[in-house]
Amino acid sequence: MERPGRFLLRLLGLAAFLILVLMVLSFLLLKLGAAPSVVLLGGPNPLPEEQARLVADYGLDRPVVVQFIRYLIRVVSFDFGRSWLTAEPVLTELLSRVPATLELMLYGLLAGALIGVPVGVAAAFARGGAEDRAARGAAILGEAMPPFLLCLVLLLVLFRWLDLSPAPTGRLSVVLTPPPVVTGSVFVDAVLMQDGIAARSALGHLILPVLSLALLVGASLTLLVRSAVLAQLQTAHLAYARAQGMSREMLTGIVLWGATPAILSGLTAQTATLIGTTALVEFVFAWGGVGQYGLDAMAKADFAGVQGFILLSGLFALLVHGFHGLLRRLVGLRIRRA
Amino acid sequence: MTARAMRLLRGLQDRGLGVAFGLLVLAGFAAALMMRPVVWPQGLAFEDAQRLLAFPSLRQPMGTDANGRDVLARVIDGARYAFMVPLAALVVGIGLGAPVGLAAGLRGGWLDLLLRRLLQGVGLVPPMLLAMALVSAMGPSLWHVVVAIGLLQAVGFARAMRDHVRAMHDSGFIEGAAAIGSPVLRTVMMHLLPNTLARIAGEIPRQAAWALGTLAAMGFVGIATATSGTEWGSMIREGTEYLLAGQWWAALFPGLALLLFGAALHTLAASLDERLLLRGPPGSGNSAGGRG
Repeated sequence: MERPGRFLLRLLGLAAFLILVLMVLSFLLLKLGAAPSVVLLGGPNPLPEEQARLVADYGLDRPVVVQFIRYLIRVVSFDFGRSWLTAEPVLTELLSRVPATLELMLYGLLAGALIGVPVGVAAAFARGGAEDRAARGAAILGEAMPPFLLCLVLLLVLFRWLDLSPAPTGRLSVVLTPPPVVTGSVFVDAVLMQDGIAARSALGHLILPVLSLALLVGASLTLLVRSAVLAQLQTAHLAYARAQGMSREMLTGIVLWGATPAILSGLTAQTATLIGTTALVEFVFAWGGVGQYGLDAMAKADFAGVQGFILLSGLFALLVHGFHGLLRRLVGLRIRRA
Repeated sequence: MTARAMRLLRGLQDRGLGVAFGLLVLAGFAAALMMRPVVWPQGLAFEDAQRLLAFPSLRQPMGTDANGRDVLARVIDGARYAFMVPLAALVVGIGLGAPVGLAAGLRGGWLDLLLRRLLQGVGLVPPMLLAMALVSAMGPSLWHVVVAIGLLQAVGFARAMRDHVRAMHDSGFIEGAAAIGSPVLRTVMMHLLPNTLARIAGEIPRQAAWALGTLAAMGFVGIATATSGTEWGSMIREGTEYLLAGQWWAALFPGLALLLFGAALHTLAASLDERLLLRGPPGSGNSAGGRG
């Protein structure tokens, strides 16, 4: 295995290259536009002075290469431009929405794992049986399910018919004042402020978005865990353990331990693209996160916002993959030393 | 149930119950699409001002929407988009992606490495979001939706093709073909492509399902406004407000059509995977997980 220093250097080099690709991509988005860049960045009717400022800032009257270099310099110095819809700097707007999205994704992933792992393991152990077929059928249905449709169905049943959950008005009831931002999670902030009413409302507003995301994550996780566990069950040491008459609980433990790398790889790929699913869930529930901001920007062709959102979701995926790479390296080191 | 019946059922499943279900659903939508002008001669735009948001009844099994239009007729018409867009996008995706992946896989070396890294970078952004951003930039016409979805599929196909060609390259028979003097083109046509097509067959319905979902998401969010009308995603968008008020039919029925169509494609993909895995060399599956 290569030395830690070299490994980190290689990882950083790759990350730098991939970030460059992401920046080229978000720059190209603007240049592929049917409308002139001034309109995409400045809105349908930019004022003459606003137009002149954009042309000067982005170098829109210069060759494309110059424009790209200027764009690179801006992005690297954390200037993502201003949204013409809100007239606010895009980066500030995005960052203020990050906690909402992260909260939703975190709970969704955790709850999704609580569904996907046990169901996947049970399905693999009962391969070909009724349980397996039921689990696989449900998982395929979940994979085919458009996220926004699931949200709407849950809203219809749990909000409209059974009245068990609040209306899709974001993270808090509209009549309440949000607690001051400390952690960015409305629920945690309300608890910190000892505001019981707001805390209860925030918790209620979490239920349906988290449930939607958890079911979607759980469905694909079920298939992932099932195939990873099946692969483990076919190994020789498991056949031996089974032949020894080892209990189901111990077998499950061994199998899960062995399947962990495969499950983590799949989970990484899923988490990296989860922001797409999350965006649709946020859109339905008016969650006010990064995803909803990005989709709104796309629907209104607010391009500073679109570019910022695309960059941010790419960077998020890069972080997730990088974290996975480090984790694998650490585990690999431990195995080697053992 | 008797043991014999169970055996029969299991046999049917092995023989492709999934394939049958998938094809049957698609054929059903196609047949309904052809019947529509006969059953609803007054056209889709017909608005019955006396019957706004009418509850499903025998006369109108899916009710009417907020403009008094028959939901069933519009749901059936939406199948046009469900067939057309994924199919057209697949042509773009395979047409662009497969040659690139093939070239990179065959040539190897720096070209392969560069392409792999570029695709890796592009692949960091969830493809659905990138397709949406492309449409938002290029403008909301149906053609742009097809191109955007197709381009993103090309990324997937190029990757799958490249990985597969590389794997076969390493297995040595390409070298073997070259050693007996077979021209590259002949090797590609006779050995590589038939092998590859069998391996990525399951990928095709899966990509079509992804295209369908992305199209619907664009309609739902309001990015592809040119398809608004009977495209299922935009029908759901129009009906959402009423669904939240309890009048669920205008949004839910197009949603169910979307789900059924998608499930049919996913089932096809799963059965194809299983059947091909039985035949193909082990351990070379390359379907990557992940939504979005």
